[in-house]
Amino acid sequence: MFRSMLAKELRAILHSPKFLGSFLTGSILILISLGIGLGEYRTARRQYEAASALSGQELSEQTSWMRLNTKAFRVPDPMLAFVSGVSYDLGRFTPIAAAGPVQLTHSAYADDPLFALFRIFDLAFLVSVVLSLLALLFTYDAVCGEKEDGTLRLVFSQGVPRAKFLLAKGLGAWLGLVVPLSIPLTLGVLVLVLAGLPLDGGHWIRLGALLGASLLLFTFFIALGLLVSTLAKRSGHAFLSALLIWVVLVLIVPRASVVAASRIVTVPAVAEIEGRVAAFSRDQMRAFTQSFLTAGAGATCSEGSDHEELTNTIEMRRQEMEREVDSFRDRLMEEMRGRRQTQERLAFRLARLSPVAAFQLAAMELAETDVNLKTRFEDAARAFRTDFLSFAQRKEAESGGTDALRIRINPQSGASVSRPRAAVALDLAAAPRFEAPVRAAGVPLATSAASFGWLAVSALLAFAGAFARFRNYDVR
Amino acid sequence: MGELASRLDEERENRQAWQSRVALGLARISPTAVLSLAATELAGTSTELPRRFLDSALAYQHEFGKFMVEKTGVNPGGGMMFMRLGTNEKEPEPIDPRELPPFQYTPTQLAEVIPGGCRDLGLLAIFGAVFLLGAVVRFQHYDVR
Repeated sequence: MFRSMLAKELRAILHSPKFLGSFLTGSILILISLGIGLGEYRTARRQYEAASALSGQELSEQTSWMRLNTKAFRVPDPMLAFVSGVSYDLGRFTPIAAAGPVQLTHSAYADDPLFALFRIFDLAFLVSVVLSLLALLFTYDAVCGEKEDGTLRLVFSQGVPRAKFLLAKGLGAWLGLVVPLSIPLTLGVLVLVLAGLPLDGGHWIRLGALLGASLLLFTFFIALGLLVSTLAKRSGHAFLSALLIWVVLVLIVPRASVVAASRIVTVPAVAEIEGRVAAFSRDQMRAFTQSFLTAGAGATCSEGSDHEELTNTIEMRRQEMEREVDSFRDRLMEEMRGRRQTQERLAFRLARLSPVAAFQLAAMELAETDVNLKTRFEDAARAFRTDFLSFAQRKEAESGGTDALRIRINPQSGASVSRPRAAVALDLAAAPRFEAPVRAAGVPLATSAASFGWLAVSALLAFAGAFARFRNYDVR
Repeated sequence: MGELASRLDEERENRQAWQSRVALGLARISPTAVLSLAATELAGTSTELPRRFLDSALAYQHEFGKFMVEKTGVNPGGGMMFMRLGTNEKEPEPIDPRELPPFQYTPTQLAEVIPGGCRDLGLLAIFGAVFLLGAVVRFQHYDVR
């Protein structure tokens, strides 16, 4: 009996006019989103390769160890083709130099604000907005629609168990939509692979998990549609209720949770931190200049070793000052980061009240285009900066001379000027190269486990609610 | 080199402006996009915002440069450090920040947004009228049985 009910459901769905429209729309949108994703990844890759080549050329043309600088670039991830996340909001590179903080700059949206207007249309958006609506469209009148048609009474006059009836409705809707839509999805992924999207084993695992999360979200909305259908007596009311719930889950809860978290946990702005660091740096510079003047006035100012010792003392004091400023900045940034992490955790917890937000968070985690992408990259860039500058300082010391114009002032012998050594090409063969941070495939799976769990629980709760409601549903 | 750079920048800006016009023109097929564009235009938060701000910043940069030349005789551009040595000279006077020319960003004026806003609102009205008319025409022959 269950099989015949399931077959009846499948036939009803596949022969319904709304199926053809939904299937065509869904298929076209899936293919378009994957095509756009591939195009965007290729563009990002081309930009990365061109910028890296230019940066490498600029590095090879530098002639001063003291002023050696380079850039660290974010490598576009192939998963960008499926979930853009915050990737286009973040800068594409950070300068690496002795002066200036490590900070991502020149984001795609900053350089081309046109794309920020409506944002990129990716697979995650399609699943969370369009396909979720499709799932509701097919199930909002599963029960109340049959009651309005008078067929519900007929079905239950045959002694059909209520649980089996509802299960057949749910499974029929699920199979009737998932199986057809998996065709364009499989086709799209195949086209991406044939077009050269470089997916390795880790990417395939993450893509599989992403599709699993999409299925869970879809299942939740089918269960939600069934629940709404059992709560409403008329299909018109069911449609309105389903739409309202959709708006709340997709549009309101995720945004409201971020706003609420920002009000509850305040985080100082980067500009405020930089202002405090600048003020501290000015105080340190004032103290350094004062100590330099005092040391200069008290010196005996004879030629040779005394003067050299004074110069070295001043240089040591200058380096100590720089270390203190860096340490102060690091302390403030650490404090800010701690508060930001607290704010994010709160925002995500509140947002996960909506399974759609849970899916979006999981999708971004799996594609590694989540909000922590910035922190991961900048941490790696800071570590690289330390190695890079240590290398430059070591090379400068080994080279013996200095790249700077040095002015020595001696009241007895007057001022002397040491010219910098002649500019020569630097030997950068042993220079450290920036390696973009790479995480094992298991890490995104682990971090998105909470979202997966909540998606599964939500779907089960919605089904359980529908079953519980339908037990006492008046089928007449 | 500077001339080449500005020519390339100008070319890029022109192509970007053309791309923007085509994209927004196509987007106006959707009434939702029309409303979104009208709203950002009226609020002054459209894609023109970065260009307006940079134009104001560039104008301020010239004004600031002129002020520096009048005040000090030089325009150090990116930065220059002066170190004064000697304990017998009196301390230099602090700079009065009120002398500095203030940066003024002129937000979008109503007169600037009215043409674009009217066009988008007109488009919305046309959409509404077309769909309403289509419904009325179709309903004339609708089988009510």
